[in-house]
Amino acid sequence: MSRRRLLQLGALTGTVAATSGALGSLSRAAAASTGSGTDGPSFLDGASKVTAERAQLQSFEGPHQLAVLSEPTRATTVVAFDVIAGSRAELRDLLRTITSRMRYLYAGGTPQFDGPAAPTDDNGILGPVLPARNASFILGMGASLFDDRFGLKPAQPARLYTMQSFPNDNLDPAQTQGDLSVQIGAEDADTVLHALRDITKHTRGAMQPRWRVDGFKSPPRPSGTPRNLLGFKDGIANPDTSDAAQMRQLVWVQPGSPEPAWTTGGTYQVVRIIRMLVEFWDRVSLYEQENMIGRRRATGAPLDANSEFAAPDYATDPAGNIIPLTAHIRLANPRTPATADSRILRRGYNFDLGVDVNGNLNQGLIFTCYQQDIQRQFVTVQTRLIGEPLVDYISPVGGGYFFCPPGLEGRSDYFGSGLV
Amino acid sequence: MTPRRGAALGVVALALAVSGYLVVGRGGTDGGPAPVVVSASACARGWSAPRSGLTVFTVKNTSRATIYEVDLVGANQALVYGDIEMLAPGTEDQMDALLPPGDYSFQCESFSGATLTSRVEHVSGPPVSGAHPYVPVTSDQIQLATLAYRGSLTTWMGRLAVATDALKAAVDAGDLARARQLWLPAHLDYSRLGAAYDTFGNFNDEINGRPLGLVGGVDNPNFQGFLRLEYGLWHAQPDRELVPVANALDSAVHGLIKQFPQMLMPANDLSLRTHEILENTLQFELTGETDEGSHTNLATAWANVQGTQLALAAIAPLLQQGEPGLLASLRQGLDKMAAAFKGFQHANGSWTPLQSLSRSQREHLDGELGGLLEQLSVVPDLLELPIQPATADQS
Repeated sequence: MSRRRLLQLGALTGTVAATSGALGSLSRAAAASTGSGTDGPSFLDGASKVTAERAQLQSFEGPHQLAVLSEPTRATTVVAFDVIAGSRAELRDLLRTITSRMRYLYAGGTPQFDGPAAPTDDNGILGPVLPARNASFILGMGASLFDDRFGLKPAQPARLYTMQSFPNDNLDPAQTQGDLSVQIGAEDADTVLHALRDITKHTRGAMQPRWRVDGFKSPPRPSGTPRNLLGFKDGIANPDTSDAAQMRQLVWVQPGSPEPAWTTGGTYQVVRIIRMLVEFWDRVSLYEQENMIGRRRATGAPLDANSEFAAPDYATDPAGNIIPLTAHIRLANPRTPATADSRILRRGYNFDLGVDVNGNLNQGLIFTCYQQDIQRQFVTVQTRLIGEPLVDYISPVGGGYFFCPPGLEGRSDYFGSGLV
Repeated sequence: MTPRRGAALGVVALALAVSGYLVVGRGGTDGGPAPVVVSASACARGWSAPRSGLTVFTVKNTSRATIYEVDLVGANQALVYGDIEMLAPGTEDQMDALLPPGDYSFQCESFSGATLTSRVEHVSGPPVSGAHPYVPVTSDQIQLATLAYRGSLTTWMGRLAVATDALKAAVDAGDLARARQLWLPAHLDYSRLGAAYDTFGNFNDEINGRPLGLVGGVDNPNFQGFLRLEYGLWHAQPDRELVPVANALDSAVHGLIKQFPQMLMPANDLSLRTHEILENTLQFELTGETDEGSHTNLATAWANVQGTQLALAAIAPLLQQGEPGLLASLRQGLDKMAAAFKGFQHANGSWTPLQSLSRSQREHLDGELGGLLEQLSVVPDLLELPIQPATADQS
């Protein structure tokens, strides 16, 4: 107990960064990823095989946390933490530790060896050597982090606030908000859990998990955009992440008032844990389902077209004769010039969490989206959706609003370095 | 919070009209029989009959107008073996049909309600079991059933008014012990009306709204009605706080009753209600989610079953015509469900709290209700009138 505590404090204080646990493993991982590590050759052979199929996993080195733009991974977890660190300095250490663990987990390599008299640093779930670029990370900060505990109020991102309940929400405080959010993505669930356990192990005493929901992305069935657990292809229409201008316009925080300077390059994350009432949904006619969504279930095509990627033509159907005015896709994205700047970058994951008290299956969607301005974008979209017919089949139960700080500039940088 | 399904255009005409749309069919994908082709001048012109058995037709609308209903009907032109609702211009959809040997034709209904009929083709091949065609209902039949249902609701509304007046009087008099006794009968009278999924619009929020989605939850002033009063009565709130709540509730009940004759009931609502009232029950009562302190979810569930029985009684003549077996099964299932819930009422009138049931008891209630819902879910499809999207979901 006391020994473990000591090791953690070593990692957290960061005063002896080069030799303390977290950063020590970081430097070794970095060495491995550049091919100069002791186990370089065999490890890299293995890694190069997976690199091709996992190439979509992006790092956070540079102006942005680029994982935000990545296509969803097959497995994910979204975890909110409350910070229990007692001072601003301890918060800084926490952010450094999180950063260094994420760097290590992303880079892969050989876990740190703490000597024969300590439990191993790594949990072993992925075997003795970690594959490189196997997991991606997105870190966010909730509005509560900017309360009086750490004196951060003046630096609070201008558009960050606590998620309020929308009509039809059923928010459970135990699954809502949090000081920090961590999303881990990987192609395999064990990789996600390995990373989660690594992060919680190295941050115990400084932050505590508040809620967590695991998700998965389905494979294309049979092709195209993956389906959600309502059986519909989900996330067909999204801004083009390869269009840098569009990303500047919709996703990344730009320099200038009212945003504090340190937030430039960051983005706002909305997480909504949306329970789907799948039993009820499955008892509704296909025709009715398709009218609620606005797409064919089999193909994903909008009701006025034959292809999933065809743009619905609302202009020629102003009365909603073909795609009802209340259809989800029509309310969410009316595709007009006036609504263009309320678009969001949405990333959905399915979740499946056992059974409800009445024996119904607890399934749904981890809705996440990224934007430059929560009010202008997500809240505007969600407000348009108030009262949509689909609300009888879904129940948002948790989530929160978070600010994802910019990416890392240089080896010694850490998330929130511009803040604390 | 809008009605789930929109208003129906009340015609399922069997008449043969002659004007412009078509479906042409050559259906068939993945080894199915001949594909169905579409043109803009006739309904399924030139379609060719598949062999008996399961066929997947591809139905394609090549015209510039929306076709609201495409049915594949049997020889008597009354039994429907396959249908597609709403086919937009230039789009295609698939129609599954399980066809025994016999004569079939397509019927296509246009926006204006005109119906075109294709040539009759003969399906041959071995006998087929399991085909389950249905008899479409007419708008007149639905209207009659709806009238009957509204009549039965009116009777119950009279009881609700009396019960709510008494409840309000007890709160006004500061007799909260009496109010706690009078609350349940009034609430059950309302629960029998089957106000699932916003049937009564804003009145339901005022009469039976939940704190769900309200900032501040039970403390939000927009939380009002029976459940708000329940919260106060079972959380020792003083009468001065509850008098305005009870009075507002009573006014809302009388407002509903006054307004009810003018409230439109979309044609498909009745069959939807037959299914959905108990979806609400499973989701909100059997989870205890709506319990604000009185622990009477099982009583509410019982009243919801009665509300469903009211709806079923109104549509019984329609089911009797094509699905007598289903009707008998639903009646039996609802009777059994009502008895199961009622079994948790004690001789003195009080109810066992949901929370005190054993796991086995809850599994039985949840599972039996779920099984019943699977059966009830057929009803809206069976009795559905074609929807004219232009009038759907007016909110």
